Amino acid sequence: MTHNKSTHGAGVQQGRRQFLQAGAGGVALSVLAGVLANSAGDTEVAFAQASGNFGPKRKVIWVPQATGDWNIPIRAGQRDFCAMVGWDYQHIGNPVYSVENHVEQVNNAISASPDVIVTELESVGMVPVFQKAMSSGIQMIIIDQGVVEEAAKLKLGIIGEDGYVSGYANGMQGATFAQKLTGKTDGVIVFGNGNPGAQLIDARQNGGQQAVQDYNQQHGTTYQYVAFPDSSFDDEAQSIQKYTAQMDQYGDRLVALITGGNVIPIVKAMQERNMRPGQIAAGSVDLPPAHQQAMQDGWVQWGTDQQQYLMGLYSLASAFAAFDGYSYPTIRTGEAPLLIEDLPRIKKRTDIWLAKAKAYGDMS
Amino acid sequence: MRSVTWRDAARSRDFAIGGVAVALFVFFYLMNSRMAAETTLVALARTMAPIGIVAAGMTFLFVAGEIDLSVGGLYGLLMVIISILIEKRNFDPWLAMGMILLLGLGVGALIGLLVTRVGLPSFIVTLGMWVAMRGAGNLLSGGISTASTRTNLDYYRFFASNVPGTHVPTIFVLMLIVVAISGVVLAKTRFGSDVYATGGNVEAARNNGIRTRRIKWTCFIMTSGLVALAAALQFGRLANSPFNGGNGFELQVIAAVIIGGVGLFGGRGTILGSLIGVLILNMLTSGLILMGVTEFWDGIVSGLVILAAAGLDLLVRRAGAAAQVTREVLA
Repeated sequence: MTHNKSTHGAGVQQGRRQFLQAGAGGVALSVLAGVLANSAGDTEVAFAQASGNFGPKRKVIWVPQATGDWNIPIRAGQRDFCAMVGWDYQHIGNPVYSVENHVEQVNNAISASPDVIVTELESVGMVPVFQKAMSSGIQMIIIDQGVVEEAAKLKLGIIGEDGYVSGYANGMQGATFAQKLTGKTDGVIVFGNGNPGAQLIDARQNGGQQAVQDYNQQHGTTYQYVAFPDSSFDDEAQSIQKYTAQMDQYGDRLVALITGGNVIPIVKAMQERNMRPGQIAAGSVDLPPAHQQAMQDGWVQWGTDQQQYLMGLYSLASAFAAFDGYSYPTIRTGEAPLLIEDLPRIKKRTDIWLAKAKAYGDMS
Repeated sequence: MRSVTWRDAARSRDFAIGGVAVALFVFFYLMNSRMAAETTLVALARTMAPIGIVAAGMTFLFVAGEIDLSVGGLYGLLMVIISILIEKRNFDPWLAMGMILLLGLGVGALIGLLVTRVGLPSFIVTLGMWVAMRGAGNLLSGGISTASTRTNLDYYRFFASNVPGTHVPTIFVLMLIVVAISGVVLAKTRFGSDVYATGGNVEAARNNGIRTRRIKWTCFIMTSGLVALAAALQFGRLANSPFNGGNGFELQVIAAVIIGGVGLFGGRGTILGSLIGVLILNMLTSGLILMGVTEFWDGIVSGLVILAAAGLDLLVRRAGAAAQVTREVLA
């Protein structure tokens, strides 16, 4: 244990805060080890944190475009990184999404003069506030989604999934399960959009459309792809009504329901219509605990693990690199569809970040 | 006393707005016959239930000349609280429901006190409460939804069920019971006539011995209590407390009440009118999707319907006033 020897040998008196930071760093590392399945070097990092080798203390603010369940694993990853390097962490946000709300929240964050702001660049409308922050010397990190061309102009990478690839995978799953579950070669595949206009969600829809076209070509099917705004992020009750209306509109022709957001309204709509699990295909581009439960119960056939914990961790690792003079790269965290057989390992990972979120007080 | 003729009935606001609802339904049916499918109607009934329950309370408030903007914030907060009580504190769901009902009544009493005793305008008080309760809901939920892990409990089964032997959702029947009781109270009781008198002319009502502050206070308590009931049954139906539950709920309720012809400045309106307003508002969402119209039109059409309802209201009142003048001249 060279670090102990070194620290004590130098006669450094650690204060309580430093001691706690060191402890938190160790905890962060154990999570990292669990999530990344790579525990190499943990003692060295804990040592570096304890002895202040991570450089000056920084202040980070995470501004999600809208608060939601998906923020929690991202926060856990970010908090772990902050605990490791001794940075201060704050998260703000508005539960109701709009570009205006998002811009306002980033402006609020800029007023607090942090060293780092982590947020989305989901619309060209966000560019001016990014420029404002960067001209104030704030390191901006794009997480979750970003308009690729605008991010390139700002010389920033994007930490998150590739929406198009994710949508493509979901469209392919939708068509595959539609044929498998219904036996039909013709029908309607509905793809709901919770945030029309947001780059990531629109990209998911476009990917889904392409996938259904490709599936039709490859398998001789004639599935029709229909996109619609489903309100699944804003109002679950209304979203249920909208999905029920889709069921009424297409009747027996409906073979799959996919959402670019929250899958629960789809499940509720199916239950309230007395459909049986697996009567039609259902899935989404996400995989929160409630979605996992719906998969377990057979209502949903697939989900997508975007690896949001890693998204959070990588976002601040990227900021850390940027402070060292490196331009951080785009990191695609994951778009692969996950099926029922993947659930045990996904649940294991989920349990880790849920425990972390509870430990950090982000969940009760 | 003069008997009510069919001409009088035709001039009534409820009759007119009821006609609009029927015309809309027929229109949507002609566009897509699935509008009349049992599944569509059942879905419509389920969606209407929480809005209809709160609209009944809001009608009392509007008629009394007050407004409550906080209903959406309270609705969301109470859904979060009941989910925490049941899922994280292991309370019996029915007990948890009783607790949020008490909490709702308490919030209504507080709002009522601030308005009637302190003298703050209800618009300001309830706007502040809306923001505060929305914030409290976010704080308690941590920005995440709480899904039930024990959906086999009677509580969830009851609120997700249909009336035995039918496909009529239980929560819709509960709404009808609330609406029927509210309608009778408003139209047929002394309290109801006091509510109309208070909203029609508060000074005159006070001079006639009506305890107007008590009347308004009671209306605030009723409204918040009904919000709590709606939150409890919606949580039971969804077995999930969305972290942003009740988002825009207050606007849906207020829009429905206005479409239903309840006067913004008090003294006018019926529970039946509000119920028809709820029906129209919800019919638009389903009907437009069935027509294959892009969903963004929903908001535009809803806005136009509110404007049309206001115009219709004006026409009916003018027609009524003209008829009254004619009767007086002929007499």
